[in-house]
Amino acid sequence: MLLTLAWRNLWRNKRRTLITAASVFFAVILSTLMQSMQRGTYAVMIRNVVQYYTGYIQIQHSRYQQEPVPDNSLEDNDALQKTLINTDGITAIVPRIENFALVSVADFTKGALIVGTDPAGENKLTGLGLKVTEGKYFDADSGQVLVAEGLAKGLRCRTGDSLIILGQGYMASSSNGIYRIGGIIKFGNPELNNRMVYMPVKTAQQLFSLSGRYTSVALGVKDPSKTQSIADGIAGKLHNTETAVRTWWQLLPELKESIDADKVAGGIMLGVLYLIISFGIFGTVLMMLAERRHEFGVMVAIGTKRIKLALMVFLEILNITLIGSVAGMVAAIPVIYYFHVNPIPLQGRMAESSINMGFEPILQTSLNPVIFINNGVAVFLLAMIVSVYPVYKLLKFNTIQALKS
Amino acid sequence: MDSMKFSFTTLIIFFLTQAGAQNAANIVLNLQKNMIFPQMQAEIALQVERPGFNKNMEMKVWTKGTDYAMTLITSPEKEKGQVFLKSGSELYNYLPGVNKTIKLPATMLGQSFLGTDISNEAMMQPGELLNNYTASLSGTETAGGLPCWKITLTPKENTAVVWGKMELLIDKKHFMQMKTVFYDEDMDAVSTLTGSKPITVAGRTILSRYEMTPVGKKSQRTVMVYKSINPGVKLDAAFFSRDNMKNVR
Repeated sequence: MLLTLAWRNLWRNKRRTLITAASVFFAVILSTLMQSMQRGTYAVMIRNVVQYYTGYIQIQHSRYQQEPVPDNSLEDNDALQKTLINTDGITAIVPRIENFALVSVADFTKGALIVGTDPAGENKLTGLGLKVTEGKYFDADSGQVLVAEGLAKGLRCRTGDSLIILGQGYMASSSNGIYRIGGIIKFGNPELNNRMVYMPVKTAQQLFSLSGRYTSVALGVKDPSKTQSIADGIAGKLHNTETAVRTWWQLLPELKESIDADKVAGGIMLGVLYLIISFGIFGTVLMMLAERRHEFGVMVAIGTKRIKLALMVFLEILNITLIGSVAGMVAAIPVIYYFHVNPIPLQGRMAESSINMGFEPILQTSLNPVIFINNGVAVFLLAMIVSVYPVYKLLKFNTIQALKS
Repeated sequence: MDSMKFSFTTLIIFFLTQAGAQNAANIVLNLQKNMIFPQMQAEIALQVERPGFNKNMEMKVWTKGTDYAMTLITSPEKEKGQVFLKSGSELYNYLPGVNKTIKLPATMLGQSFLGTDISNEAMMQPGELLNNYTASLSGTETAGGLPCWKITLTPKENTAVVWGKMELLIDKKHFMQMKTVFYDEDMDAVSTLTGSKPITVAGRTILSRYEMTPVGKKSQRTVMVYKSINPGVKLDAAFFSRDNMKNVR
């Protein structure tokens, strides 16, 4: 009975209902957009480093992180391979050799990070093949190298030129070799774009006297949120103290820290936004009640119980906020999807600082459904809390004054 | 009266510190005068010691003053034929395997020479110390049984140098570099170079064995031994050219 009454009341004054619902609707869209923008920015940061290079988990020699030199490399062993193959949730297993070295073309010499890797696995893990802008992606047996665009510019070289690599190999050996540049690759992250050189893992093993050894095994995971449990699973099965299993936030603690710090700041911003939203809804609801003072007065005068009246108004507000927040959640989807597909490019100094930190200068939204639901529910709850006050007022108001108004 | 006393004391302190600085600089000059021949040819053996393995290298070295140095690796097989050339402040590396010469960037000066504990700069005839560092005398100590001056070298402002500071023990009689401690920018000791086994070459007493020990790394060091030194060779500037790197034997 009360529900029907409340529902009918809503459509008695469509404009009023729609204005109140709209205030909830826009609040949901706004807060969803803001949080999804924030989460999306983290995703861009993580993707730029983790997915484009590090991998979600790496198996390394336990000393490698302190001292990343070829002497702290892992011996290729069956036990490790078997463990990795039999672990669920791993999408790619990429053994790599990473080593800093000098690269030189004609009279130009630069420092570079040489990465020996399996071309097929690397493409699966980091999509390296998609980043080729000139020449061709490499084969495992080609003996050719891929040079990052920024580095190639610094060396004034292009596809087909010869690249000399000079560095330090396993057990204090001196390593040098000359390789044909098979292609140029472009990274969004300037730090990678200015120093990466890829070559087949076999070629790198020869160059650095590391036959049968790797400096790391990078892993891709199906569900990034399960990274920790997968890492724990692998570590539990390996009984070798020389082998360390590290997640991306252990490999890149600075990235994790900066995200955590930013999350706190973002949380405060979101809190302020929720506060503003609450007062908006509060104002609208209060207006609605003020408009209907006379009506409520009449109802009480002809014998409606105040508690029933209060319940009816509560149901009205419940319905309005439900309509508003569900519509908001639904309407937020295309908006957020649009900014996910068409990220907002940053400009000027913001772009510069973003590039300097090693990230693509874009604002991209996150499509994580949790954000839509969370914000819809949060705004709904806020509206419900806010409506406690008018309902309380209904239990107390002066009937005579209301009738006179 | 008081002010006169004050100015007299300051005057004395002024002269004392000036004399100290002068003295320290002179000691460093004497060290370089003794150690660096106008020109020479030498044979050097290097042993790199690491946990689990040792590596031996041999090389021939030609130098002319502090500006030029040429180093040819003669052993082991993997590095044999590699040549390093220092010409002024530039450093080149000839790689026989690919038949190319690479100009090494300045940042490589502080990096390890062929995987040893010795930097490229230290290996390739370090230049005039006093161009980049200010010397001060900080006492006397004994090293290798010989009384030594203790000299601290701090980088001059606006000079790009590898070290934050160096502490040298230089023996008072022959000005030999008995011990050197290298510090990084944070003033933490990075490595220690200890000299020993004095020999007499062309009337000079110099050290024939040096040991570079990095701080905080277990069973790791590099030992450098002069097997022969010949200061009688005649070397012109053309010898130290990029073209000649392929020809030196």
